[in-house]
Amino acid sequence: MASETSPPVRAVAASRLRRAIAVRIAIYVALTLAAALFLVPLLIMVLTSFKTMDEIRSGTIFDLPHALDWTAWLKAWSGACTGLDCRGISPGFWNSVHILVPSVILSIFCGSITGYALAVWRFRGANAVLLALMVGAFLPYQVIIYPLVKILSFLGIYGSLAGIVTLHIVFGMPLMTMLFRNHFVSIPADLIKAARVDGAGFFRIFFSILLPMSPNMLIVAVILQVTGIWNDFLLGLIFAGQANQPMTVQLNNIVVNAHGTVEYNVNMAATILTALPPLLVYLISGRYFVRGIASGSVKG
Amino acid sequence: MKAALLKNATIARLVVLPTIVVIIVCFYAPILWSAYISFTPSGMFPNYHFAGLMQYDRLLATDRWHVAFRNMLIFGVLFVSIAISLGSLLAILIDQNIKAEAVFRTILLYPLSMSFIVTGLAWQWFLNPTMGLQHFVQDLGWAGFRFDWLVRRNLSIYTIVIAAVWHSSGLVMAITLAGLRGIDPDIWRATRVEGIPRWRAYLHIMLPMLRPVMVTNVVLLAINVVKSYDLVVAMTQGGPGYSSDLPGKFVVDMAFQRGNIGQASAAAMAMLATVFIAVMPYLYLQMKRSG
Amino acid sequence: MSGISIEHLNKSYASVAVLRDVNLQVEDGEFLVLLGPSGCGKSTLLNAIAGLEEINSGAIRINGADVSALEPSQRGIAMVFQSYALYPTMSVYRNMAFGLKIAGLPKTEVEQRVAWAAKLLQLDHLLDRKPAALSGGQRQRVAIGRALVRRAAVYLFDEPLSNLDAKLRTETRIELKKLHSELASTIVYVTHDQVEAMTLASRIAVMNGGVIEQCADPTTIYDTPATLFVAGFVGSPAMNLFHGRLVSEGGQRFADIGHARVSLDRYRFSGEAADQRIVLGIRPESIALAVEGAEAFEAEVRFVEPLGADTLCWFDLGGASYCARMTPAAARGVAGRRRLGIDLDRLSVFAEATGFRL
Repeated sequence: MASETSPPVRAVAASRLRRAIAVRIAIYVALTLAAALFLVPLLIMVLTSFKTMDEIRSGTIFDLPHALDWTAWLKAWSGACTGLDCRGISPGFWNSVHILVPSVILSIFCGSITGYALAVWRFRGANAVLLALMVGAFLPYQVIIYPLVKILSFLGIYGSLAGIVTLHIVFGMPLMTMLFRNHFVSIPADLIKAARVDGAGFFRIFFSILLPMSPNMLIVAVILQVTGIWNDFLLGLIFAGQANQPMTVQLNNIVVNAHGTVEYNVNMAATILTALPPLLVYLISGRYFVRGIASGSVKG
Repeated sequence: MKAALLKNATIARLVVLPTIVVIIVCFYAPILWSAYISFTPSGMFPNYHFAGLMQYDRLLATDRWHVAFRNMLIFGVLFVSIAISLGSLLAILIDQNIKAEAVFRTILLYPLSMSFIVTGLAWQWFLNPTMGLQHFVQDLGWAGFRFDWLVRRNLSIYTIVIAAVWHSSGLVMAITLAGLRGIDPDIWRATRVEGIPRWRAYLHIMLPMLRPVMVTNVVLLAINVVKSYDLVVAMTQGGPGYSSDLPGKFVVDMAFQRGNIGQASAAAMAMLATVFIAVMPYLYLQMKRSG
Repeated sequence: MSGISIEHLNKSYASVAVLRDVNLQVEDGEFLVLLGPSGCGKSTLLNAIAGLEEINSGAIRINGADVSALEPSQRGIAMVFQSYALYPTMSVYRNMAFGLKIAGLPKTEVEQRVAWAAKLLQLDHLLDRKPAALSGGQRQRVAIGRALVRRAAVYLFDEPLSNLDAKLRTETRIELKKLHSELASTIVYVTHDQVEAMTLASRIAVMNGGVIEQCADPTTIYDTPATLFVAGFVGSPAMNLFHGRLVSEGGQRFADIGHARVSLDRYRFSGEAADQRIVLGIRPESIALAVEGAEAFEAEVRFVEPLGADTLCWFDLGGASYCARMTPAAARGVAGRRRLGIDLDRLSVFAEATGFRL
């Protein structure tokens, strides 16, 4: 009996196997193709940045450079001009660093402690505050940008480092508060009670117990804020002032508002330099980055 | 008597207080101010006389605004639908227990780490008619090849769609993949027992189960559409002419280049309304979830 | 005066009353168990004593002092939580020392106390570990140790054994009992497990719907439940409850439960009781196969459940199902219609209208 039924069964199994293999090959081909397409813009930027202008004019974007020529990179960093200023993009880099460090630290501090206050000490109106903050997360900057200029001018910090840092903290509040609030809500209530029986108050519970428990959340928050603030353009453009223009704004000035011959190799090198910090953060942090956008997405 | 018991809660209130002040001063008061200004004849400087719908009438009579708003709709519909489809497809492909999953995921998501300025400049270079893709294909021998959308009035907005899809599909992929991984494996076992083909299981069971995730995706992308500023600035500067303008750029230009606060405020209110409509499904979902 | 005294305590969330006019005295050195189903208010009461829940009105005194306005840490209490609530980032030593350090105790005193508790609970070799590296039983002991080092006037336990497996729970129960007799400290202990309550308590307060239904020693609670709720809640299987009438006839009193009349001659009424609708409560072990001359009724035996040490015998009477507990030998072969006898010394009679014992 068994020998009579097995050949067709085997044939079916074999054809199913062939189909499965075909499907898997198709999956890998599709994914590889997608990956290649996603890499193209980065690839041509890198290729262009190592070419001389002659090579760029005579060849195509996909031609390999003749040599690893760092001239364009050097010029992008310290020689490219915006108007009369020919210091390259390095001042923008340092401006961005100066904006980034206090903005990230302060926005995470404010967001985490507000989130903690809202999550653990659920006083009346805590949910209303949360809802009001949510609205801030959805609000396009453009809607309020002009009145904000007035407010910051009134406070005397328009066009200053303090001004732009303040705005990054303000606009970081909704996401950071939400992020930490939802994290602290998941911490067992018994733990807070135990700490209160032990005599720990509002701040000690936060600093001695909850913060040490949350290194992952802190990493996620740092990644979100570093990439978000580094990549900001509009706030930097309007509020930072001439002396503090962040790297994205200077990059745009160098590339878009250039006079005379366009130096594509220098432009591309400057673009890559600007993209590099968040890109490195992304590559190093990988999993946390995904967690960050996932948690950011759930809360808005 | 209760005072001592409330002490920590009181500190909590005090800690939250600055946030409340900031929310009011930096979010809500400016919204109200902009809303009011949109009903005044303000030009270069704020003018507080009430002037009815005059600014809105003017806005509706401005061709550039119509172009910008239509562009936003084109950009929004195409970008959101393409990014969602592509991102979901990529998520499903990556969910097939493939080797080197981390490598593929990393490559598909890296554009998200870049700013819209960088994205715009990269694509501007790639699509540059004289130096970029068009030149490359022509150089291959296909002399009649044309891909000069970047400089064509009626097509430049589509190049922005392409760049935005490149930037954000990875986001959809990552969120959808997380959703797929969160589905109870027993449901997969049930579909196998019932002999449902894998692609049908995805199409008819898994993706519908991910509706909340999809709503999140749509809202996130839609908000980016309304906010869009950097990408256009870097890629086309709104051009040629104002053919690829967007409301987000219109408002900033009106306020800071043209010195027309009234128009800027009216346009800003239109943006706010659009965001509200885009966020509605999300709020609806949140309210339904919390009962 | 020592111990805890709670007077007219009220607590509500929004409009829902969780504790209603609770009065309770806990004597010095007493092991008081708060027993009740989930949602009865027992944990809320414990949290109110601890100062972790705000109260609406009433007074809480610990060792004679009104502590209602004090922070938990100022009330002279220590607490062990259901989830243990150990600080995950701190070592066992730091977990136990944390509260003492905040209280500003000198370092040597802190070390001394932690060493004492660690020795008592056999935690000496675990002091450097993090909670994540401990077993459930060890975490439990650390939680108890963290409470002990506070040398508190009152120790509060919030269902501390419910996260342990059955075997460990029995062992820890015995440990706790030993600990209590050694330290002679006042303990208030919340549980929904009546075995824990019966074995540990010097007194049990049975709670239901935010009210203490009865507060007495375990034997009293079991033998003479004060309310229908206590009768039904304590004991497994539950007390058999027969609805019927209290009848007086020629100087004698009966419980007429429809299919049988039970003499209440030997029942000690707590006061005057008029003829009325009643609920007659009989523990399963007070029902046996009838011997000649005993008060008895006929019932249909449905099935028997041998539990090993004894056997449960389920029978029908008037359409309802009841239970008798017998020795395995007595229950062998029991089936069909049988005459069942009642131990008239161990009855409970409740007024149907109020649920109170008559």
